Amino acid sequence: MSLTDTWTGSEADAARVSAVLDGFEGADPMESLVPALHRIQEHYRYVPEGAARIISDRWHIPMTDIFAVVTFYSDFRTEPAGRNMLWVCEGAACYFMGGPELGRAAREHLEIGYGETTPDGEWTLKRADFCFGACHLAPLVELNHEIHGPLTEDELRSLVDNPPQHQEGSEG
Amino acid sequence: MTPGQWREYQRQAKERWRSVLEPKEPVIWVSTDSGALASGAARTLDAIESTLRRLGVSATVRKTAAFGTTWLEPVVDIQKPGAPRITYGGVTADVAPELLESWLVRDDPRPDLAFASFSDEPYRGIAPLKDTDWWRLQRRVLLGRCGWIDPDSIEDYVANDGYAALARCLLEMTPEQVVEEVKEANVRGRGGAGFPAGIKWESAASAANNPKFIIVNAHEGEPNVFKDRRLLEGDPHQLLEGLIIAGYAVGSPRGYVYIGSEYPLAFERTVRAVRQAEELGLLGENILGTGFGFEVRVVPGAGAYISGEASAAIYGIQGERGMPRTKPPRSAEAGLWGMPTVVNNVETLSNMPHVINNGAKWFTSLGTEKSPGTKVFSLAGDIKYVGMAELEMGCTMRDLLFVAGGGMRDGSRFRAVLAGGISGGLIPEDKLELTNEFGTLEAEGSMMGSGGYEIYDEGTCMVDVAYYCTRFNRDESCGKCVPCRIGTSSQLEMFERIRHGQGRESDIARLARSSEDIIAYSLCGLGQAAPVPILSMIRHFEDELIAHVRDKRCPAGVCPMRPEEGSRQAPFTMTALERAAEERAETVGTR
Repeated sequence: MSLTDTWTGSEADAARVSAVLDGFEGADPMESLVPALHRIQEHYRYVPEGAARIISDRWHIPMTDIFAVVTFYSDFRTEPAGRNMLWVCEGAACYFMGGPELGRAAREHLEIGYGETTPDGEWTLKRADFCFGACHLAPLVELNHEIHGPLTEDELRSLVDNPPQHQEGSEG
Repeated sequence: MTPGQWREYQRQAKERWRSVLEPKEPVIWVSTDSGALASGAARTLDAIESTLRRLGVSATVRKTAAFGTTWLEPVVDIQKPGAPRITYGGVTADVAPELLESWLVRDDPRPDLAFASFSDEPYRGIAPLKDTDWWRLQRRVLLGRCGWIDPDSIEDYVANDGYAALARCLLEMTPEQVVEEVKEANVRGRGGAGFPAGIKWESAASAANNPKFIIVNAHEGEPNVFKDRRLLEGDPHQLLEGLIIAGYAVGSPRGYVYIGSEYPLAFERTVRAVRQAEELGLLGENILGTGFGFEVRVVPGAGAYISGEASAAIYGIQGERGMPRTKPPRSAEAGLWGMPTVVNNVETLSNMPHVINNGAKWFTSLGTEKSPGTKVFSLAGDIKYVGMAELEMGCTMRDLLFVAGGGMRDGSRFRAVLAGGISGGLIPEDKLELTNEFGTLEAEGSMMGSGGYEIYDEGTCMVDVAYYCTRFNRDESCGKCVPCRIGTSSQLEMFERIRHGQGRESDIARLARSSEDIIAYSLCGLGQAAPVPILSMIRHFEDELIAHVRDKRCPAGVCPMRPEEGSRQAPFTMTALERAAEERAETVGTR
């Protein structure tokens, strides 16, 4: 049921990226770059170099400029993210209401650090310094685009052990 | 659309709205902003619909966004014919069936679940909203439609005076008159800097190059600041109307709304609002037959807090790294694609329809002389009413936090408020008589900023707050200029030592001195404000810092105060460089 694919560099992949770029026909290529990268990442869970190369060729944007953007913005990844994306909020409300403790529990339970993906490709763990706009639920986590909070460390562990069935969101 | 067709559309929309206000069957409002959805509002909505079917009760279910009562989410309002509208809090999918059955079938309004009623007198044991602490000091202008209209309905917006200001500008005013009105109203930038919007508009309008552009900065990005998010989720057309008015006043053919990627719902609703306005003919070519044309593009960000800085946002839209640049030239002279560009905050532009509708005189009658109008605040932390409140500028901090904010949660004691977000400063209890407006909190080393306030109780360590802010600024520094990149890193190292019981008394002076240097020599607002929380912590809570460095003790019991377990770092020893700095500190003293 996964909507995402693994990038293999096949012709089908190239066609898919081209189709994404077709959607920006007539628009300014530079203004379209970030939205296009979002679309590609939604599909592959990262921005594959091969996809960036297709953008570079079609829109005449140097690879170095695309790479500059991909590495600057925290949304974009150069390695595939896990199938489950867990954000632990350490925004200004959550940080002081138990966010760091949830973060430690998540790191220990998944045996990875912030920004890392488990070797089996199941989980990516991230620390959110921005705001989910749900400070009334602090301390909270966001799992696959759904907010859970307020959570205790035990509740977080059982959430990780039994992640709710979800639909893939449209967010990047 | 001709002016005649517009007036007819407006008349019909208002007529249909009357049936909402004077319903023949029960109306159920369900709040669906991101705060409500996080609390399970989508499941509540499902439960309401299935309960209505089960009970066989006919009712109108209306989707809206919250009033700002975030702490009560999921919020549901019910209005029965002949009864006032009542706001209920904590209506989860489990509670909803019981509530509907009680009130709609058994005629029990359930005061135990109610927050307030929209009536002048108490209604069957439910307090009137206007008497609640949360509401009674509020002056709702920008949030006026939130909680009433469906944010996805342009008709709801038009029925509530929406786009009347735009029509007035286009049909009755010259662009110069619009600029003049906004200048006279002295609408100051709500993103935090407080620069008068009218002056920005005027200088862009008078710039020689064309085309000119308008950018809405909706890249809020800061932890604990969510007022722009809610304004977009609750009333996106209000912003859009302000944006089109700006386009007309400045003589611009195109506007951009730059929205942070962590705001998917705000993005979706803004895109929908643009499409609806296009379909109705309020965007596009020849709007209302006046020959004025305007296009709006909604552009997503991609993370990186710094790309919400005004000059950085321009690069972000251009598909480049969103890093600030040196000024001059100012954006009004050379901004997007090198053209004159106005960059305004969401809240700033959302004020414009109200300024045009009610006039500059009305606007300046609100708030204070130097800061006219209202301000939307987002309150979070150890406070009772976590959410949004809109008060006139000049309200005291005590009124804002202890009346509209409901005071401290669970009887805990107030310690400090971090005003102005991560770039703001701490304000202790004895300074709560300060007023919230541009330029007053600065006297105590803080600022109003964009109005995102975080409230701390006595269990919070103020050194930890300064550490947290420094960590955020270090992580979000773009690295372009040295004072910010190196300065915040070295300050963070000092804080790491202090938190782990290895600080020294000289750290206090070094933190203060390096803060001043970072403020003085950084390129953009991030660096210039990064040390503000540190300086305010030293100013108001130096005792607490001294306890950390001298007694190796965290009075709040928060900091670890021992070397980090498993840390590969050797216990702290001074490097030659630090020894030199130490000697300098001793000879020069604190500046």
